[in-house]
Amino acid sequence: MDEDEERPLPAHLQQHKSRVICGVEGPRYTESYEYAGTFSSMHHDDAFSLEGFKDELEVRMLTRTDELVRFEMRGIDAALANAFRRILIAEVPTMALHTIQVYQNTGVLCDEVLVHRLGLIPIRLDPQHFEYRRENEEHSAENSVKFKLHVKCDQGVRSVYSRDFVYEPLSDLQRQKFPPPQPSRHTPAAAAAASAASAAGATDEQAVELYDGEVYPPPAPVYPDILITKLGAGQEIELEAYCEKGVGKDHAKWSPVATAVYRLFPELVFPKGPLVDAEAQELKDLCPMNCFDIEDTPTGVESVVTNVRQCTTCRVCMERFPGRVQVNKIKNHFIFNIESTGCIPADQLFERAVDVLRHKCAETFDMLKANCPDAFSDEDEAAQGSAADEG
Amino acid sequence: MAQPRAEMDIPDDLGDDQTCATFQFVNEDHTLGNVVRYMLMKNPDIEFAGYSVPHPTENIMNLRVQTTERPASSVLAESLTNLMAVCLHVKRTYRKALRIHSKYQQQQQQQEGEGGGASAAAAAAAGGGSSS
Repeated sequence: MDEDEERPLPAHLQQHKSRVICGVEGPRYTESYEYAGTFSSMHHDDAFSLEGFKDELEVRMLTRTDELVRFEMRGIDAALANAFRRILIAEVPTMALHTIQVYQNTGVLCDEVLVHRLGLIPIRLDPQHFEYRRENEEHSAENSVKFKLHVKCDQGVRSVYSRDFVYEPLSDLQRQKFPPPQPSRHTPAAAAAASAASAAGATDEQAVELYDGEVYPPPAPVYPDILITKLGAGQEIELEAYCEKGVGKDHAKWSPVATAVYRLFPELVFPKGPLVDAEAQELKDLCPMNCFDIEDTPTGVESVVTNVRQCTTCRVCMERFPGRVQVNKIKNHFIFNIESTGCIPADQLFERAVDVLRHKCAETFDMLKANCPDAFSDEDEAAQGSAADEG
Repeated sequence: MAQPRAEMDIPDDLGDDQTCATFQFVNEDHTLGNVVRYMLMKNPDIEFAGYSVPHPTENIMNLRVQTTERPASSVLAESLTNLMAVCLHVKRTYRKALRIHSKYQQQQQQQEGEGGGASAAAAAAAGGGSSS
């Protein structure tokens, strides 16, 4: 046999490498073998190869709505899966109310509490159309969107909802790109603002630049019925709020996700063969998530695993039948659960997180290249160039 | 809120030994540290790769790279290139899964439409049967 020939790992090592085993005393083989030469003495090479990665990676969508995506990803390491999760929570940019000028607030909620509540309202607005506002930079149509809130309670109690916000474009270009909603009879404030805006628009008609790009829906809170505060008779709130771009690591209000979690894919096995007859029935009745079923065979009935995705690792089965039913986790197979706050559709979030990571790597690569140019071979540059082009 | 830019401190004088280096990243944390370390470890030229965040309130991440022969910065560059290619492929595969799923959803809706029609027809037939 050729000494350099690549050989598969022995079954038991392959098992330790690819599975976490949930034993009665706790999980075993939780570590991952990262060093490329871990099994080099067995002629098994663990070095990274892009072709190998491409062959292995599989994604399968399970649920997809505007608020929630659930998908399975196989063939990826925990380091990468965790980077995507962390980026989803803290580094995918969104828009949130950040600078707020309060002109009048006679309600029971003091300014800072009110303003904090406003910041946390998710706004449906794509951050790709905006720049980050630098410190002390003026608010402009490039970096913000302006909302006005003016509510007064004449008698009784008046609830202030997120729908009371009135969007006011900061420039003509913004007005054309994000046209304000048509004035509605139900909200006099909106009607007044719209008429004022149209009057203002009429005066500088000459200055209007023609915008021929795509037209987007007006920026607005994701849900119209978020209760902000309640006002008593004679109380009033008047404020201007600027919606700015930011990331979740600065403040949680910029986090695009309500939750972003993954779990390892469960695997249920019978190391000593399937259970039969009465025990098979017992196992079926035992599992609270109905992962098992029974199947007729010529000699009687035996257990089969039917709903492995349902498994919550409650471990009831392996505690009742130790050594005969085993709960494993597949180390490179993840079930992602990403729930959006609504500011960005959930199915777009993951792609954006991947882009953020790629951008980080590209930035680091450029810095490295600027600092030590002699360490770079032509191959590296060519590879980097092709990766950038494809993006 | 302005996004703080990532910075990187690269040892100016690596001396004669180019195979060992510690790269200091500013405004980066475990997110980048752990993936880069993972990718470095998967490189056969690597002798040691590790990262640390010395203190949680300092926005600094240190990455230590030791190689067997090649310059450390060249191996790091290769790992970063690999990571970019991985990201690109993950994104493509995800998009493909989205497309497959939306096709499946359309099929489901069509079937539901047909199924609903059929059951309505059956109900009408049953209703007709009872009235006669």
